[in-house]
Amino acid sequence: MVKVKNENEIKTLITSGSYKKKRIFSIIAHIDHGKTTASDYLMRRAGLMRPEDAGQLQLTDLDKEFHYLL
Amino acid sequence: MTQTETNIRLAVGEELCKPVLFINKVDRLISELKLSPEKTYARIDKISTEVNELIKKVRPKGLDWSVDFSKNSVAVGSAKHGWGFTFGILKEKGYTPVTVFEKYQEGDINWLRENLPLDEPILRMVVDHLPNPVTAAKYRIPKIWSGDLDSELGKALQTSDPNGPLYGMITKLFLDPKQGYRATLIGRVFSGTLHQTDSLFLVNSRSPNRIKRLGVMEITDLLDVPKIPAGNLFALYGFICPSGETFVAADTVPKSKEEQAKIPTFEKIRYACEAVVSRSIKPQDPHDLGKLGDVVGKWLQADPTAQFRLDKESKEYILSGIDPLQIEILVKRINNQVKIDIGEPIIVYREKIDKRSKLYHTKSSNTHNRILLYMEPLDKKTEELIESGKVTDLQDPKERAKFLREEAGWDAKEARRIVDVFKGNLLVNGTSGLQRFDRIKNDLISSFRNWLSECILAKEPAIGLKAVFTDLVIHEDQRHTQFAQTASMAYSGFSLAMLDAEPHIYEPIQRIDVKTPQGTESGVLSIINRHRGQVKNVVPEGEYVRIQGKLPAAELIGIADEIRGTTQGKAFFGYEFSGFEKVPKSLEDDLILQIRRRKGMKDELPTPASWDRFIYKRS
Repeated sequence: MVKVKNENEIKTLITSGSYKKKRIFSIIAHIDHGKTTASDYLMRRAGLMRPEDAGQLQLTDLDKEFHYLL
Repeated sequence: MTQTETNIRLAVGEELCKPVLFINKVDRLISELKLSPEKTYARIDKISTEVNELIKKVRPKGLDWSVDFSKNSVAVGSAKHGWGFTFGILKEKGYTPVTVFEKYQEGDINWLRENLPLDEPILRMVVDHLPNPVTAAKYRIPKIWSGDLDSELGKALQTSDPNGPLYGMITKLFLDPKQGYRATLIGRVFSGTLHQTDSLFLVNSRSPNRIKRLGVMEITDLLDVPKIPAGNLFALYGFICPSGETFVAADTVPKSKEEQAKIPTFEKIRYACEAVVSRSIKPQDPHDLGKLGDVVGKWLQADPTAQFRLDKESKEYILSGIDPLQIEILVKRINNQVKIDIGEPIIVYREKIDKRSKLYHTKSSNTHNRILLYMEPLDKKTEELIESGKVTDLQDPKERAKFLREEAGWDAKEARRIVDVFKGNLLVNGTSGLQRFDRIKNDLISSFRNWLSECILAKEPAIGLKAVFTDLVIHEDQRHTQFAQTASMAYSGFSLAMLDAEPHIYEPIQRIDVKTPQGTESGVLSIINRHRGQVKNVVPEGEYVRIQGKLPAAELIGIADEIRGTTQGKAFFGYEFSGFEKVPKSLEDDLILQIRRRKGMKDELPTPASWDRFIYKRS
C-alpha cells in the first residue's frame, strides 16, 4: 500500500499490469453521514494530508459553504 | 432507510458492486445515548441484519454478498472523531470491545484517533473483501454493457485487457473552484490503454476530443500519468462532456454516421423522472447573460438530473430538477460565480386523465384534413415502463411491441402501431392502413409533443395518457398539409378529448423517513400533518423514533427547517421522490387558478366551445 506521497510509486502502481493490489471503490451514504470526513482519513493515509488535518479539512468537499444539516 | 435502500439497490443491484459496511456515528450511541456495550453491539447487529436483507433482495444470484462483523466485513466507528475498527483489528491489537467505552468515559478521544485510526478498517475491508478490477469485470460487464459479449471488444472488457481496443467511460465531472471552475473529467478505462496523446471519440455526442492533460487525482490536483491501462480510474482535462459518456479511440471510429451509431455503450445512467421543481434565475448584471449560460451549462454536465431552459413567454431562465433541496444547492453554487436574482421554488405539476374519452372528429383550419381520435389513461405498468426508460421513442418498434406484450400485456398488433412515446405518454395509430401518413407523421408527433408539454388545465405537462387516432384524412395536395394544418386539427382533437376524459392536476410526492430522538416525535408528527403529510409508520428504534410517510414536494423545503427547529438538529431526515398523486379536491381549483395567473393565462378554464370551429360535421 502507498503509505506516503510518492509520485513514482503511484505511477508504477497504476501502469503496472498487476491487478492483485488494485481496488476501485466508492463510499455511499446519506448526506452528512461522514463520507467526506472518512475520505479525509484515506487521504491522510496516502500521505496527501497532514495527520492533524484529517477530519477537519474536508478536502474532497466542494460545497463547504453549503450544507443541509438537520 | 429510504436512502440506504436506494443506495444499495443502485450500487449492488444495478451496478453489481460488492458491498462492505461501515457503521458510522457510533460515538453518539456511546456518549449521547449512553448505551451499554451490550446494547451498542446489539444495535450494530440489528443494523447489519437489516442491511443484509436489503443486499439479499438485489444481489446477483449465487453470490453471497452479505456483510458480517465477525468476518470483518462490517466496521464500526466515528468519522467525526477519527476512529473505527473491525473485529479483527481489535483482536490483533489486543483491545476488547469495551476499550472504546472506557476511552469515552475517560474523555480520551485522541487515544482512539491514534490507536484505532479510521482509515485502517476501511482499507482493510476494501482489500480483503472487495474484488480487483479484473475479477469484477467478469460478472459486471454482461450487466452494465449493451454490446456483444463474444466480440473482440466484449472479450477484452470482460478480462479488463490493457491490450484490447480502447474503451471507457466518463463517470464524473469535477468543477474546481480554485481553477476558475475548470472542468476535470473523471473516468475509468475498461479495455485497452489510454494515452495522453490519444484523441477520444465520445459515442453519445459523436465528437472527437483532444486530451490536454491526463493523470490521476490527488485530492483536487492532477498528477500526470502518461498512460492508463484498463482497470484504472483517471482524470483528464481538455474538453467537457456529460457524465455517463462512453469513449473509444477516435482513430478507430468508422466514418459513416450509421456505423457510428452502432458503437455499443454502457447502459445509460437512468434518471427516475422529469422535473418536479423549478426556479427562475437571471443575472443581476444583464451583461453577464452569456457567462451565466456557460456557468450553468458546466454545472448541468456535472449534474445531469437538472435541466436549464429559457422560458420564451416570461423571458426567464428556468433551472429545474427532481429534488427541491438539490436545486437550492445548485443555485447557490451558480450564484458564487455569477451574481443572480433567484425566484421562489415553483413546483411542476402534471395533468392526467381519469377515464376514456368519447371519439372526437376535428378538422384542420383549412378544413382539408381531419382526424378522428380518443384518449384514455395508460395502465400503471406501461406508465412505469416509460418512466423508467425501458420503453422509449428510439426503440426498435418490433422490439418495443414484443416487450410491451410480455411486460404489460399489450395486444401485439396495437403495440406495433405506437407512433410516439413522449414523457410518460403514447400516441397510437389505430387506423387500418393510411394514405400519405408518412408525409405528416413528423408534424403529428411534434404537435403531440408540444400539446403534451403545455396541457389544457394550466399549461403543465401531461403524463400517463394514451391518444389513439382511428381515422386520418390527409389532403392529396401537399400545399394543404403544412405543419400549421396538422397542428390545428391535432391540438383541437387532443384538447377536446382530454377535456372529456376528466383531467386533474397531480402533484409530486416525496417519501420521507425521519429518525428523531424519543420525546420529540409528537412535534415532528404535527409538523408533518400541518404540511399535508401522511404518516404511514411510527416505530420506536431504541432511543429514536422512526417516522415514515409521504409529503407533497411543495412542502419539503419548509419542513426541513421546521424539523431542525423542533428537534434541536438531532433528527435524521431522508426523502426520495415517489411519484405524482392527485391534488386533493378541496385545493385543486385554487391551485389551477394560481398557476394560470402566474403564467398570465386567463382565469376561466377552456370549454368544448373553445375548439368548436374545428369540429368536423358530416355535411
